[in-house]
Amino acid sequence: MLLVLSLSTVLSAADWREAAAGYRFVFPRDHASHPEYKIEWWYYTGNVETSAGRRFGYQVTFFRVGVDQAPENPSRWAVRDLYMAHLAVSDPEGRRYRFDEKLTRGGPGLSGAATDRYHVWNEDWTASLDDQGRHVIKAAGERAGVDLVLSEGKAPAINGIDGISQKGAQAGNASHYYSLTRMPTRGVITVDGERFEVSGESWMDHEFGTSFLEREQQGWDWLSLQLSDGRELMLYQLRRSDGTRDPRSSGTLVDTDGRTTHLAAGAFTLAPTGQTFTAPSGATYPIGWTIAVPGLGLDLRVSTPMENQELFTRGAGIAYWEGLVDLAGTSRGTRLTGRGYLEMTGYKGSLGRVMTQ
Amino acid sequence: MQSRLFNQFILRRMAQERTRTLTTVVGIALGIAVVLAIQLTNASSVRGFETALTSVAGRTSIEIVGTGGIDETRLPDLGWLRAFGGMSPVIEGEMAIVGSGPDTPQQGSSTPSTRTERGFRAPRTEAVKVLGVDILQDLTLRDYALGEVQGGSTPAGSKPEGSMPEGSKPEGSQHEGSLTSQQFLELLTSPRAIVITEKLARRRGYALGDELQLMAGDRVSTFVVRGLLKDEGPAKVVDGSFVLMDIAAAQLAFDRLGRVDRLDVQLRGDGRAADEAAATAPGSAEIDAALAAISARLPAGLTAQRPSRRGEQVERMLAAFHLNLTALSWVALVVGLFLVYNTVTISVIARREEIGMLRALGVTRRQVLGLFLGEAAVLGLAGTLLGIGLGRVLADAAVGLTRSTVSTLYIATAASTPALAGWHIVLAFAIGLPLSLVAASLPSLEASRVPPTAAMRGSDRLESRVRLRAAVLVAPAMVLLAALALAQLGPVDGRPLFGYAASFATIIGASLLVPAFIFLLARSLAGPLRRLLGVEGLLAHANLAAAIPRLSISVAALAVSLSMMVAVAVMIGSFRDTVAYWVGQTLQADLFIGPGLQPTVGSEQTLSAPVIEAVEAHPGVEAVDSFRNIDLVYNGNLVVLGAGNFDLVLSHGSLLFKAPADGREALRRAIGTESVVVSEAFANKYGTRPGDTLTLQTPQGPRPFAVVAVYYDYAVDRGVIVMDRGTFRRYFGDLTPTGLAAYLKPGFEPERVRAEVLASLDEGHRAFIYTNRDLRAEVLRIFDSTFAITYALEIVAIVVAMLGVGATLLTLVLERQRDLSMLRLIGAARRQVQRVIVIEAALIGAASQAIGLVVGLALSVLLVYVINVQSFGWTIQFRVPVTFLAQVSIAVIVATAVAGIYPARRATRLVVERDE
Amino acid sequence: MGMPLLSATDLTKTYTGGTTTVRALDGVSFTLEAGDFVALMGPSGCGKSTLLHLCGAMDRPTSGRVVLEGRHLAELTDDELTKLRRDRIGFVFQFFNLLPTLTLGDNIALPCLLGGMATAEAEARAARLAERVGIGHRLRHYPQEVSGGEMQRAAIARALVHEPALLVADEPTGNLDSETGARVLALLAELNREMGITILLATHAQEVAAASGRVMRMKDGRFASAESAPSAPGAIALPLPDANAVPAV
Repeated sequence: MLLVLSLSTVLSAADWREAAAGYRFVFPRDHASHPEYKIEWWYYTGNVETSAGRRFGYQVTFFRVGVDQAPENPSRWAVRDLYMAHLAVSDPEGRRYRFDEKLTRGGPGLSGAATDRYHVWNEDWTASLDDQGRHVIKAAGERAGVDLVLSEGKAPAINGIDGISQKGAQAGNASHYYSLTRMPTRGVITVDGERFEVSGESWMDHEFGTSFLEREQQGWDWLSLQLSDGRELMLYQLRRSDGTRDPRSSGTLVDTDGRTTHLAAGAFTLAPTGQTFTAPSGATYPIGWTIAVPGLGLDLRVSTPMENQELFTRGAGIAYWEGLVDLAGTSRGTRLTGRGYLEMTGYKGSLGRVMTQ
Repeated sequence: MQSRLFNQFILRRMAQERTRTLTTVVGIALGIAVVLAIQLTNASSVRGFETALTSVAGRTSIEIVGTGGIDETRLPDLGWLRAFGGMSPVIEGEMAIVGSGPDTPQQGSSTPSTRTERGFRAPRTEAVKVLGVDILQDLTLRDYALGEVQGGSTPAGSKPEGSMPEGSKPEGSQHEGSLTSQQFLELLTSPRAIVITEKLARRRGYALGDELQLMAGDRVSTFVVRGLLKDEGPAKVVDGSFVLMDIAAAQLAFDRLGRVDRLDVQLRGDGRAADEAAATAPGSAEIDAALAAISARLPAGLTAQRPSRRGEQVERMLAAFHLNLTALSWVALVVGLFLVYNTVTISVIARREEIGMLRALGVTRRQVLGLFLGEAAVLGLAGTLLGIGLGRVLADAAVGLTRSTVSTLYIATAASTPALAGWHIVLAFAIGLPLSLVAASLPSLEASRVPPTAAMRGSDRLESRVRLRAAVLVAPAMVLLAALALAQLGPVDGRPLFGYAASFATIIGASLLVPAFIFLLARSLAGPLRRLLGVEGLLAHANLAAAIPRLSISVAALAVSLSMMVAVAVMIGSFRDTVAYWVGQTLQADLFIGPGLQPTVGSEQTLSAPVIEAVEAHPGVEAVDSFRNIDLVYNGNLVVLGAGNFDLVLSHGSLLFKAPADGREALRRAIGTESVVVSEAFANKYGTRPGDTLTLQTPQGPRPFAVVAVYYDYAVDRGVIVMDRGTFRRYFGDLTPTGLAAYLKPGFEPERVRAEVLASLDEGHRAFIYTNRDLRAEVLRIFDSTFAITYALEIVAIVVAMLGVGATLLTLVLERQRDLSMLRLIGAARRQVQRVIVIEAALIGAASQAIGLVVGLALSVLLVYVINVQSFGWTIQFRVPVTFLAQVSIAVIVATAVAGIYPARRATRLVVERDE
Repeated sequence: MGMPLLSATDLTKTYTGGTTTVRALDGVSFTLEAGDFVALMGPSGCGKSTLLHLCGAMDRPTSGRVVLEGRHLAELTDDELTKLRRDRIGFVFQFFNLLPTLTLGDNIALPCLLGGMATAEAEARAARLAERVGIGHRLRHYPQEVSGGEMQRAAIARALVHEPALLVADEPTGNLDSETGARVLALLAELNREMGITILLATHAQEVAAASGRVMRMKDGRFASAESAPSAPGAIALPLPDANAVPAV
């Protein structure tokens, strides 16, 4: 998401709508695009496996970054929004991590995000709802591809408080953010031309807003975890450039019935275990984490079966780590496991300044 | 032994006869130089286009094109092309930089009168190639090496931000030393942002952040330099005259909203890794396979081709023009070779005794042959070497002379003379050496037949008087008959090869007739010369009559070049009269309005709404016709497809119809139907007649159109198809016009209306408005400049021929030194002897010009009725420019007389035999 | 006695070729009276041709002076020398030096024509002289159509057509067989005798010298001796060709 932010830096927020408290989500309308906000993304991650038990992880993200709400040039090629898309497939057994990306403009309908229904596309990569309300995502790059159908599963979980997920000290530095936390998934994953029929569970995030981070915010660590007891946990921790934890870090716990509990910064801790991985880009990522949510009695340990899941984009020239993780720990003393996705950004250089509006 | 003999017998003599050797070498050199210069010139126009094509094409293997461009809304349906590799939509064109640099005050406030001056030709403007791309897509196809760039982009209405400090890249960037595609895009997002080359910036003194004004069509807009490109990829286009902008900005600037010019596709090597550095260029077979696969799937109206196809089309379009220049350039060479023949012949005749002596001493025939061929080889070698150097110089001049023609009539090209390539040098030697040897073979053979007894014969230097035998007329008669037969044959692949062969045969036949002609001339002129010119006339005639065989060569050479000039003069004169008549008949409108920048192939220029409105709004304007021209590929060739308002043509305008008889009625019936009229050049080239059906590539695919009439047009030799605006719109869309013709109400002065319309335009719009009279003058001016190169080539050939005359006279003078001394001894004054020689020279000129006139008229018939028709397809009314020919004739006689001055000076040296 | 027609005083002439200098004449003096027939004799290279050239105003001496009819040749310009040659001197050479492309008639008339005389008068004179030297029937022929003797007769006629004061002849018989040579020589003697034409002739043939009135022998650029020829110029009395006879050569 950092990349998106960096894309947005070139433009003023003046004409864009800011995320404000009191937003009421309506579905499926809110799956569709919100072009009045500057930044918007649709984020799918999932842990799936073949019938033989071979495990894969995938990530498909569609970004829309507003550039100029009303370009003076009447050309269809005038850049109102930039569209970016990332595709990554993790194959721990084959030790393969493959990714692809797209960075395009809308042009005459080459990329876009519909407002009347859920349909976002970046050239031939698409995500949309089919007539049964299922999410259909198709993205094929040279070395990785997904063609998946996802049921919504639990109702959308609204993150934050009062329809708003605060990211910075200023009022506007926030987003509207909901998640589909456990989506039964079925389809095909392709790695280096090899096709695998898979099924499993996915997680979708949809977030839109206009300004997010502030100058001192260095990056973040984000986790989406599907616990074996039927609950899901989302946590993100904003890191400040002085090395401290930002008070706007937060999380959401989703119950088995879909009810949500907002976790403020003080309600949890998220700490590296000390296990690190130095990626080809030069960034060093803490790839093991411990989570404690004292109020819920949760003590969890996050690890990954695959160290190198760094995604390095040519278009934006930015690297981040995004990959499948395993989970083990206890809930009020009861052992539980789980799977999920971990995203770590801002480990390469200081992005705080760049992101500032 | 042989080399020593060669050294003593040939080289020493050549050194002694410096003047003759030098003239011959210079003659060959000029011939070679002209041929090379024309090769280079021809290459410069096509190569200019092709190198631009290649540097812009980058890694493009295949391009998708459509007539009039591609409707951009079709692009999403072409997503399947991505399976083949990267693709990028492109807008490409030409703009002119207006004003000399950022420091000069803007010219926008210029008065209407200065605006109508040919601003785009003025030294302060410079044409640049403009490429509009979506940089996000384009980086897979083309390499742009950005040097300096300006800081963060500032879209309209927002305050500048310091988010990206100037000259530095964001710290998040992972790329060392280069911008990410996203940052590159940021540079270009504004519709006024451009990136130019460092070369251009240096040349015109632009710095980052400077504003510069570019004119496209009739619009002048201000752009800001946001970045500088190093000399790589497309930036290498002709001398760095390259401007990169965003595709949206380019669409706006060129007024091509809604369409792109083409879609460039880069083929991905099969199974290649995503890391592109490792990707190798696809092979030819791979491209062919992909072309077939893509063509099979492309929707109607779109064509897939290699980028080089456009170069081939331009090459074909220019082929006739180039072939004519090449043919002309060979005249100078042929004349130069006459000189070799001449020189070696003289050398052989003058040295019969010595040859006889050598033979008596035991030198074989083959050795004698070798000696004289060796002389030719030395001359040819020296001439070629000199010619190569000279060719480069002449090429610059020739490029200068043809540049405006090529850019006016064919393609926009910042023509600079290409460097001499290795193959040019090989070509020069391949032409110069063998042809010199061929030219020398006859006299050398003759030398080898000189018997040893010739050594004893004493002073038989001068031949005795010549007798005319009927037998010598057989060969020329047969050659001339062959010429007649060749003239009846049709073109080969659109080239009048048999026409050229007929011309060549005519020249050869006429040359063979020269001795007989001079003989008759000499016989009939003896009396008159003596009466008119007294004793000098008597002597001059006597001298010439004695040297007919040798003189024939010089006269033939001169006559050949003169005949070419006469022929070309007659052809051009006829052509000019025809065009003048046609212009008078067809140009009926009172005002003609065009964009400030002239459109050419690959550089479409259009008129914009404000200009059209300004014209229509003027109270004096009664009716306005608008034209729209686009390039159309027909039978693999580029032709012009034009759209006009047939109603208006019928009510106000005038076309000269060739067929059918009632062209106006045909035009009336064409309105609203799938009908076209075609130009005569088109009809000739493709054998089209009224009633035929043409299948044209429309954006909807191939569609049939009925040809209802053929009209005369002398403006476009590649052929024009015209349809009614309504029909055009149905198939090709409502494209903005490329020109307007305005008819005024009675009582309105065109000059005033023009001034008023121009005054009503704002600073951002520049139209060229010609009054009817101005345009007629302009048409003829363009016509004349087109033929400037032709005359230049003629003059070189004539200069070479004059050198030949001078050299021949000099030789005769040297040979007759004893006679001339004797004349001086018996009392001839220096001036009398000089006058004799000058009269001889003038007589040679007169004889040559007489032959040149006759042969030239014959050649002009070939040019007008065979070569022109076959290569350009124009009907030209034959007309003889009598005054011009009379002037030329006098000039030629004076010039040859002048060529006799140096030999005349040499002739007065008194040589007395000394006591040994 | 009046002024001599020609006086040469202390004439020297050197030719420089490369590093060597050849002294062709070395202080030669002599005079020629009107009506004289003088033969210069000597081997090849003795300087007789050079002396002839200097006396004929064809060349200028390195030093010394030549006075012809009272005029110092050294003081004359090139054009004046040309005029002098055209009006006062006639030339006959070993090679006949007729222009091959002119008829004998035109060749003979040439000096008059060059001098600006009207064509008709020049042609009449040419015809008269041709008649006199015995080739009247050859006027319309070209040089290569007639014999060597006839050519030399034509050359003599051309040398005399403008009535010069001095006839300069360089080996006039050198290119002719002996019989023809004798006839030409006889013609010269006759012209000297009958028309009083002054003749300066160079030869290395004894019999030619014998026909002259005075023989001057030269060697190495100087006179070896001056001797009078046998008094009677007609000593070699060869019959003049009949005007109608066709020469045998």
